[in-house]
Amino acid sequence: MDTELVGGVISIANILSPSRIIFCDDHTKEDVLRNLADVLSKDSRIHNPQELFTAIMHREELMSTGIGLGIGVPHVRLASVDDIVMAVAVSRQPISDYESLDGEPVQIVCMIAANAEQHTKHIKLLSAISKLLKDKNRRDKILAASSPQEVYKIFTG
Amino acid sequence: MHEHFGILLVLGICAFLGMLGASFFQKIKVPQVVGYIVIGLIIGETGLGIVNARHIATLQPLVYFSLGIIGMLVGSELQISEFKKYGKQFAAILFGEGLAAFIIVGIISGLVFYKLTGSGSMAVAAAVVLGAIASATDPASTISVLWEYRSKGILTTALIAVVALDDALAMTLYSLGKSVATIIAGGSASPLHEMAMVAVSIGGSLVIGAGAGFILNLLLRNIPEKENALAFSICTLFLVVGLSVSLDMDVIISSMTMGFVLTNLAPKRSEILFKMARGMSIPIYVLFFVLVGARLNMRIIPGWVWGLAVLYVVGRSSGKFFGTWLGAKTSNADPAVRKYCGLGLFAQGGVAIGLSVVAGHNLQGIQVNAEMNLGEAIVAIVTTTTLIVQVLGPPMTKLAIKLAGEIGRNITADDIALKYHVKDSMDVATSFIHEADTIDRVVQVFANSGQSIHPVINREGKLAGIISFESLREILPDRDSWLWLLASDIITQPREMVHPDTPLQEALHIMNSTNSDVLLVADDDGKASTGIIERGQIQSFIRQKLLEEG
Repeated sequence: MDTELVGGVISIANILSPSRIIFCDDHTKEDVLRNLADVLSKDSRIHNPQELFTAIMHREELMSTGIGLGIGVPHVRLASVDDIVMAVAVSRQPISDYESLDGEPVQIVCMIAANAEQHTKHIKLLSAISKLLKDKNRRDKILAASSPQEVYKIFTG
Repeated sequence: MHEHFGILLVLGICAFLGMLGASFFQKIKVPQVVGYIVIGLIIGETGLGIVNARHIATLQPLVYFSLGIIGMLVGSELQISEFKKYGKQFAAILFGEGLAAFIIVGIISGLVFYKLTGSGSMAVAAAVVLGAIASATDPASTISVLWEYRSKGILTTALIAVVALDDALAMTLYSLGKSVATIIAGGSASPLHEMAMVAVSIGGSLVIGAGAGFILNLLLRNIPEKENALAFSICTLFLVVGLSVSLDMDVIISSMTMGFVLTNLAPKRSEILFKMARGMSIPIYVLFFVLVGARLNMRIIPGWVWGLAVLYVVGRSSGKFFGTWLGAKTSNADPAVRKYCGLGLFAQGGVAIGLSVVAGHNLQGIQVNAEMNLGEAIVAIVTTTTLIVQVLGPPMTKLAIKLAGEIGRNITADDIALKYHVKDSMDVATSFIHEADTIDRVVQVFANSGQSIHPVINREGKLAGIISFESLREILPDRDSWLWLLASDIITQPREMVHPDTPLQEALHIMNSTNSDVLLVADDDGKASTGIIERGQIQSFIRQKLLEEG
């Protein structure tokens, strides 16, 4: 199923689901990214888990996806991905080796995988997440959430 | 066995062998038309007899249609602007070469016939008829050479104009000559009546051609598809040729007038049309010239005719050369025209043969000797001389345009697009974007280059994809993201790539078929070290080369 843009706006509700939201206490960036990649790979839209993880790490090598304010947005576009899909990891502890633009430690990680042709949706989703999580209240609520459903409601509410 | 060859088989043999012969002659740098004629000689009445008189008679309508196509395309080369500019020169050259050939051949023929027959009146009769026929120049083979060698320039323009208008002069001189011959030989003839008949023939041909040209122009305004326009034009030409033959008008003059009117009324629309017609008319040319060679029967030519034929050729060629020179000099024509135009007028063909056949019929009552009448003698002489000048004429035309430096000057945009390659027209210094560049840097590159797409290379220097201005536009509003989004996040894969050695014509074809104005240029290793090529760049390059080389 190809995720539609409605009025030029992407709907996170169709891309994220509570089953793809995890809480983790991993200490390293690679562990967090590996866990998230495993979660994403359970979705039927992902056909090559190894390729997904390799591509995510390659992107991190070019430049860290820690965009500041404690947010990380690892992302890739691959031909082996059918449609855009997202997973979120919330870490109670700062992920120490996850570099970011402002130096603030990353605790909310939103991993995005899209099809190679979904250039526009991919960019719009990244932009939407960035805008969503600029709100400190929202970030604090996510960090204080006790269940994936709660996190999902904050993202989609 | 050849008698039973059906007409289609004969056509196939003529066309196939004609093309083979032309290829051979082209390899030895002789105009292809010579190849067609030589093949015709080999398979025709002089040689193997595969094409015989019955076949030639059956194929006469094809010959007329061929003359029509040739006439139409000759007319398409004549621009009113050229006549306004060079009209006096063309007229002076036309009369100079036509009358000089008439006078010199007339004198030579008269002397020879007097020596042969001892009869002054017979000598004068032969002189005026052969002189008139000698004034004709074959437009078909001359134009064929000019097109084959893509010539362009003042000499080419003069040659086209003179051979196109030559027919009218030859027909006029012939009718006068025929009347004089008939009177001198004791028959009755009215020169005024003959002149009136010629005027009707020429005038009628002009009316048919002009009318067809005007009507076709009106029709073509409402036919945007090129293929339908060509079909309509060919059908109209059929009508023009059919009408001219039925009413005993001149096919070349009527079809030429049609081409002339069309090209001057609708220059842009007709340019594409005539280009397509030229392309499809090649097999018709082949057949036409093979049949010219095939109908020549050297076997029945008496020995004395060969001697007279050589004198005729020398006299005619001298007349053409010096008459042209005189006409060009008195009208202050370009030096290239003065020096070389005469060389390009040696060919003799359809019109001369046609006039000799008419003379053969009209003058058969005048006996030269016990075996031959004047009509038969004229047919034999013209047939022999046609053989000689059709073989010598085209190479002389080629020599003329070569000496004038006009070979290969008629270059079109398509020629440039085939000749040059992507690497010749693309910008070498293209800014490259690396996959790890931030969007902030990408925006700067776009702003500085003015290009609409940029290739993106990875760490190994290989092509990772492209960024187009369209894809960049998506993130321009979100300036915050410029610092953390990278080029690799917004690259797309190019729909098509071309190699630096790809001909420009192929690159344009790819752009048209993919509906794209930009193509990525990559070498065999897939590295983007060569950059991009845009449609506007190619078109600008072609225009520049046309100005330089055209």
